Amino acid sequence: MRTDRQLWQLLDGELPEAEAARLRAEAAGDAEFAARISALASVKRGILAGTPPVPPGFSRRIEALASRGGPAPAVDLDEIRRFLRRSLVAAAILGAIGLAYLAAELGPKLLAPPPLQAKDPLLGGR
Amino acid sequence: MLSIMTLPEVPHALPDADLVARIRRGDAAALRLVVERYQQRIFALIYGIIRDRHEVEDVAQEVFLKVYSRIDAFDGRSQFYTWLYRVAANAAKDHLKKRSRRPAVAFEEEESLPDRGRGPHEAAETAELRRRVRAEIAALPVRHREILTLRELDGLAYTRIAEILGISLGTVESRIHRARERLKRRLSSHAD
Repeated sequence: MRTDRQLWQLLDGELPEAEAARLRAEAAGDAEFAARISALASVKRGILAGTPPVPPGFSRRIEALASRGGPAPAVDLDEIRRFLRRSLVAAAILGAIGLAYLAAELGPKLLAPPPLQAKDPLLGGR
Repeated sequence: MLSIMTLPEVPHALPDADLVARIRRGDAAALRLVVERYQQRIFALIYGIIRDRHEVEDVAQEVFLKVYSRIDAFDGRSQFYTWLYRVAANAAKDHLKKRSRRPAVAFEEEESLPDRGRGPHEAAETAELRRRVRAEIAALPVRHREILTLRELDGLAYTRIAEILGISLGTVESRIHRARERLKRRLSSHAD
């Protein structure tokens, strides 16, 4: 039994040619199997169905707007997101370096035993 | 070879690289040629994501003007169309966020795409099935609509889709699979 995933990959042209040829041969001799493939192909076609037509003169309008400088582009949220993501990564790296440095510098001091108290001369050093 | 082609061929009179170089010099006529080359695909991609026929044109306009004003952001390391599709997909998703995450709506309107490559196997395909597919796709999460639409644009290979979306090939494969499974379940559950 072929899985839908295999059939989708066949329709997508993403199967190795030998495997695709096997499936096509199988479909040629099996009406039910061919109908399964055909049904998936119909769904694929439906995905782009309904796209509105490009209005006449659209490209000329874009050219005219671009020539005039066009409307100010909206804030590019994607660019901002990328910038924030990079900033966070950089901050995390710097933070990790800082912590490593502090650990290297202060760790031994913090972990070291406290210095020995000088002997109190009043109590006498017997 | 089974193939699904629903969009006309991209004319290849001038390579994209030449047009991009001209746009970098501020040549708006070159932008017009880019628009003419890709407008149907960009309309399809935007519609695939926002699923609102009435807003596609505005978003497409924004995309092409962004291409003109931000052409320097295209570093030339990838194919121009992959960058263009990324710009369009991001613009469509930003548009959805701007309209306060209103649920997408499927419109019952005339279809405009040419019915190419129709053979006897497709004869049984009905307008009703297309209507249902459209309605159910509109109900999918944005990331699923996006990846299904990209897949049908020029039959983009999974590797190209990965490049456009900035995700791994494995993620593309699993996301497409999940989206289709979900779509199939929805179609089956509303079949009666």
